[in-house]
Amino acid sequence: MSRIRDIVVAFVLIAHACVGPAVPDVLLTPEEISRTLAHGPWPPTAVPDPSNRVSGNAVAIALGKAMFQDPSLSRDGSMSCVSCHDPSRAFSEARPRAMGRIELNRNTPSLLNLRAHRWFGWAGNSDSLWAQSILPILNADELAKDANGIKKIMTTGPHASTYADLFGPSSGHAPEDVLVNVAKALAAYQETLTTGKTSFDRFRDALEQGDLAVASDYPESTQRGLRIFLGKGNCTFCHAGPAFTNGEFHDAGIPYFLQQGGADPGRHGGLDVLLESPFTLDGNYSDDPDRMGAWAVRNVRRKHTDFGTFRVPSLRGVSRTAPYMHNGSLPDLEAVVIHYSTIDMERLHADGEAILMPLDLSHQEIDDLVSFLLSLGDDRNPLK
Amino acid sequence: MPANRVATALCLLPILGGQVFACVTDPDAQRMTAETDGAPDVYVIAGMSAVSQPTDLEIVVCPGTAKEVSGLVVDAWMPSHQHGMNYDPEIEALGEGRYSVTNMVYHMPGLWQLTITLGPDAERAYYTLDMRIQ
Repeated sequence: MSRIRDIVVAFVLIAHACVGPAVPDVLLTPEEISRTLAHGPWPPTAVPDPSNRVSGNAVAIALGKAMFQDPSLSRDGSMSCVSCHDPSRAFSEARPRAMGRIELNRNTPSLLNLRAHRWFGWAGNSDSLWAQSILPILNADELAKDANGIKKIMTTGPHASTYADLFGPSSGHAPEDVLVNVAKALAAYQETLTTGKTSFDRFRDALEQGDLAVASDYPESTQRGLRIFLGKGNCTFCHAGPAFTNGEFHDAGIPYFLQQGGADPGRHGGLDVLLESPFTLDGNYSDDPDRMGAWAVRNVRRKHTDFGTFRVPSLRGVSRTAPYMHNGSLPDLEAVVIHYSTIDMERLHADGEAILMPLDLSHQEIDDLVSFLLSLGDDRNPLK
Repeated sequence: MPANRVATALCLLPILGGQVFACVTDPDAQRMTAETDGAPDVYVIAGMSAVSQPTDLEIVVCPGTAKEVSGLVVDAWMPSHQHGMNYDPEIEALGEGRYSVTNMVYHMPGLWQLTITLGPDAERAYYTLDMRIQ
């Protein structure tokens, strides 16, 4: 792949030299072009989740969408998934911290483009989307339902026949099996929440094809922002690949102390939940006989530096998911960029990664980087 | 042919035909840097790696030294970032000094250093190899 990339870069440079100064410039160096190509192609080919036997199933997707909006999924019928995951806000919500039955400690994460993730939730409590979908259902501070209640609504409620078509009559299933099956339908639906090609992707694809005329449509300020993202910003170390996330957990210098006292353990606590869960890809509820994804939960390392680290969110559609960071403490993208530009080194783990440092960006550079980030969310057909 | 030219050709032969005389002939094999004197040669055959995706290696420990290989530890870290990997790789001995290493995950682009430790405990040998992940 890197050899192909080098050939493409060489072609682009030759074409650039031939076109001459009359065409607006592509500002990137050969190395920057090469690194830009690594952030695509987009969208990825949809591959069913082998651990979820109804992944990609149209009936399951419809059931999942219905359950996502159904308040009977909660103990008292007072809330549903959409209570926090607002479809009009990229399935996130405007408040800094989610409001379940009480105010929770973390920001509601967007549900866009989850298919490619390895870990789910800010702390990676789950290694599959269906396993993650179980947690808010059972959480006493969120939907607060239990498996028996889920079985009851799947036996007597309006979705009973659809459930039976997919999984067999729920009356013959253990409550926990029904819970998992409902979660798999929810996951099948959430897998469809994807974003389309953005102006960045058109720029990236044009570079790959050597089409400098189309590439030059990408505004110069946005190109400058991309260069900061790839270079002095060090953003691409964590926000890597086509989804602009490496899917792992890092210390971003955001305080993890809680207003009510105590601290949010982040990944450290997430691993506690994960490794005790019966719902992992290595467990009996996975439909994958080969346990293809189980290597991660089997081999994940535990480190004391996991404390207070949180999963790197994808930047696809980021313009639609304010506020930002695990606790929603940064109101907009400019605030995020300024946070990294002026980061307090004292906030970082003393023995953690040596990546972040104050960027000391100028006002223009801040605007340029924000312009680039906005270009990751301007797809013409969002949720395509 | 003059004798000195014959001698020169013979001296160059091991260099020009180096792979033929090494214990691996895979053209993609990379020799690791031994950090321990007298340690056996170790080669890595690595496939293409993508950031944050599990990838596999083959390790070849060349014969011909007094040291017995009784253990192999494989790891990697990013020296400039001061962090290692987030997952333990799985190692399987294939026999004849060959080892299959699976689920190496380099979760950032940039320069990684692959490290290998050979047993036995009393006579460990250490090796490194710089790898750029894109």
